[in-house]
Amino acid sequence: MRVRAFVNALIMAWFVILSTTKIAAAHVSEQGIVLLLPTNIYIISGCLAVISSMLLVAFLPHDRVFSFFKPLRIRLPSFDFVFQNALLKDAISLVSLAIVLCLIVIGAVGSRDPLVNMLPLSIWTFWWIVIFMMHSVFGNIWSWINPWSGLYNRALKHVGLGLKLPRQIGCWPAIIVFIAFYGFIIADIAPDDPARLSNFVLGYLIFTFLGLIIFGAESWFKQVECFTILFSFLAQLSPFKINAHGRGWHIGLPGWQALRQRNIPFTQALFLLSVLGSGSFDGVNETFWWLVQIDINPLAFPGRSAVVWPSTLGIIGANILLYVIFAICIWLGLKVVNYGYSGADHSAKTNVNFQRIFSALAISVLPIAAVYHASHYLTTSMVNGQYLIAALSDPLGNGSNILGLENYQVTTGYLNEIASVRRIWLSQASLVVLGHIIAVLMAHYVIAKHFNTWKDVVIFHIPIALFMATYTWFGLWLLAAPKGA
Amino acid sequence: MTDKKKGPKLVSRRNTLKGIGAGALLATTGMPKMMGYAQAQTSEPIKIGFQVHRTGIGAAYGRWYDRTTQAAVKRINDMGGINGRPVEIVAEDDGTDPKRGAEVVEKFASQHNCDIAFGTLFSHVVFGSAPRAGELKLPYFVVSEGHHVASGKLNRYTLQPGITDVKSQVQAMAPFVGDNLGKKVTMIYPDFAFGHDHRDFFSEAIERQGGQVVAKIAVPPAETSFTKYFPKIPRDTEVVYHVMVGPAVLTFVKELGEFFGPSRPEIFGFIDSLEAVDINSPGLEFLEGTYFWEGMPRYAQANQTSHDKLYREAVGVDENGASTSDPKDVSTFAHMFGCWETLNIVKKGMESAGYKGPEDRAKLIEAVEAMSDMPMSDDHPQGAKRFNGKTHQTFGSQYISKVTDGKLVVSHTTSIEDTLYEDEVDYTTQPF
Repeated sequence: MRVRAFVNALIMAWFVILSTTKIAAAHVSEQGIVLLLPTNIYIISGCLAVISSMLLVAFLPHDRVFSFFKPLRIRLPSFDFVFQNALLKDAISLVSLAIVLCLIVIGAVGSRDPLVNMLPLSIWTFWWIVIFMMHSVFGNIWSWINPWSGLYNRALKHVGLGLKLPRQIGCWPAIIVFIAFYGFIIADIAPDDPARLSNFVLGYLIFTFLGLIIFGAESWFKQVECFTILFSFLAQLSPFKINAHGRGWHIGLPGWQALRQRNIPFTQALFLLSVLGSGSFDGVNETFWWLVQIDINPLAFPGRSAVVWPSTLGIIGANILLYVIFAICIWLGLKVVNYGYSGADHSAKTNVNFQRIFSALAISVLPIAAVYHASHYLTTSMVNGQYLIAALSDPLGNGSNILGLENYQVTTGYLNEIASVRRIWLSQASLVVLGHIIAVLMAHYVIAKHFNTWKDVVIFHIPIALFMATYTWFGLWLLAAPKGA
Repeated sequence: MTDKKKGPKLVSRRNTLKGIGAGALLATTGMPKMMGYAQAQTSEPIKIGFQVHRTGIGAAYGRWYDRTTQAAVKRINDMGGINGRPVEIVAEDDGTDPKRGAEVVEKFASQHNCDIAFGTLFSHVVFGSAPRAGELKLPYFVVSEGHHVASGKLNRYTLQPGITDVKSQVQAMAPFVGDNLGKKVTMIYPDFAFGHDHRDFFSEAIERQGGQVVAKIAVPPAETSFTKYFPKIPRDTEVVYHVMVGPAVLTFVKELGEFFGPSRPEIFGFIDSLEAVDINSPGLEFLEGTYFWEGMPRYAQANQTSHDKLYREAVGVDENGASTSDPKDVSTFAHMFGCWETLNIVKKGMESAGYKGPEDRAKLIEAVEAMSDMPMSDDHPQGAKRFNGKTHQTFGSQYISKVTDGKLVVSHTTSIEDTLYEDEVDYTTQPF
């Protein structure tokens, strides 16, 4: 029964992904319909799917697990003249800079309506949702379209001050900038306001250019510019890799590239956890559960200004909580593995140290973070995507009608229909489940690479597996939970 | 999206100013000697700051308030604008937040040089914004249906001329409920201010009808399942009055239906619970035969007026209250007419005040305060209104509809008199 429900869920999800060309949006009727769906059955099915994958992988020989992440090599032209073309790359970055500057101006002087002005639509819908997700499929787009590298490589590099950020601080600055950015999304009173956003984007643009000039690209892009770090990680989930010099393409299970990365520094591991922690809180903060915790009536949300501090402390707290839980899982795993050796041959005790395995395993939360983002923003992107299309028809707000959309009206209609709401919900849920299954496989891969015996691998995996199963439940609960903010 | 080329010509924000040239010119040609100067002086648009819930919990309402506002402004501009000047909407998102609302009002006054502010729905945003509007001496026309304006808690610059308030709506239900559905009423409401207002206003009104509230069942706001509350409904209940809101409304109705089965008391609710929700949604089958208050009938009635027809066409709403570009996209029909009517009142007020610019804001308020009866017309498609200049609140007919074959069919229209209550304030005594 449960398996059947889950299979149904997957089929429905794919149906939506393949056939949904219409666009929808979130409001109370969708939430109302979600509460009528048998989400408990779906949640149990999803969790069982993830737990089954854990059990399955536990009994597979390691080589078999390793083979999952072995990519296929395909003989395809590598297009070096495009992908290895530094001039083209810098030119695209310069065009991107020009577009960002135009958007900043539009934000400052264009329509005051955030669903008409191109700046908030471009930043929050196109960049933060669409571009974000495209990295997990197509690879590191940001390395091409970021607005800094072109100007830096062609001009600013030569005026650089040549200072370096201390290596010891790792990417702590990027973690702080990233959480601050999420704080802006979650806790700021009006992150969509075109004028306010225009100032923030301009501020960050200048901040990054100054950082590049003072500390150079090597330091800044690796230690401070959080989006460069974020997108280069997400790009490692891409199934594709186009090799240079005619060495063809590689295609594999999402995550295969991420697992090739050796020796992830500890602060980068914390950064990865911050991506998941922040993304998870951006969802929890809307639920009835959270609103009740912070003493807010979920039926009469008083507005963002009333919850600035709870939201700010919440996002910081959520990240710290995730670091601690993840660390406890690792510590517990090591403790139990070593307990197995106590009294026996002491020299056989595992030599895997905490920090090394903590850092290596953090990569496995990457697919979870990616699918959270996709499922959380799915309905938002569906409605705001419509506004974006309408705005593209009149990007400067001067009454032009480039795309001929004069009669265009945004709709949220099919959130009133149980069939489409079910399809959307199951698409989101299936994404969450698939992300966790990949995470489980990746975690097992990493653990199997670090421990010698099958027994150690399985024992060490137990706390992390429990963590991931719980996170699956949490992610699905989040989709089903009533929301009031 | 697929229908974007079909259907009637709808209004987008981009074309509301188009065509105004001809209208404005016509309006100014009556003054040949002054024309050159007048043309130059009056071609400046009248700027209306539209405080819209674009984000936050009010966004579903905001989308339709925006559509209605754009349609109303297009019509006004097509007819020649206000005093021969085009109307321009400056929309600012208040995030459905009171603090942000106050910021937005400030922007309208200081940054965008708006003549007035307009359009707020959610009461807490009105409460947060109105004091600032008063300080800035910016006329603030709200479309909120809260009792806050008439209660005297706000100020002379805040007016609600285009939509009735909840106190008058609730008390106007009592005669119909008492005479037709039953005298013994059980009220089920969410346990916070919104629900308490219904409880207090209705209890008082039904008692005046010789009726009685036999049970008051307050449901904690975070509740998402309601079965444990239904056994509290006394057996001798003749009418259940419900005003649940929030995402669990569909669950509430479904569970209520399951609880009673085929033998149920009469049931009366406020459409606020199901605004923008398809009445044929799953779980709502139980609503068949039950009654709802509607601010304006969502479904075009058999005796549809030409005004209702014109209004629907202009906003792009079909005979079922849904978007003409997507029949599944149900509008917030019971409330959004308030934007349309308020803008027409602003136009009338500015015309009778001879409004020229911000220096005439006080004159505009006095002109609106002087208004009283407004007959049903294209400007007032919801019905006739009676504005009370002292309390800054309008009064008008309310509709009680019965769900019949999956549609809301009007079974009673209250008189304006049913909605009146004693003045609680006289704003005209406050200095500007």
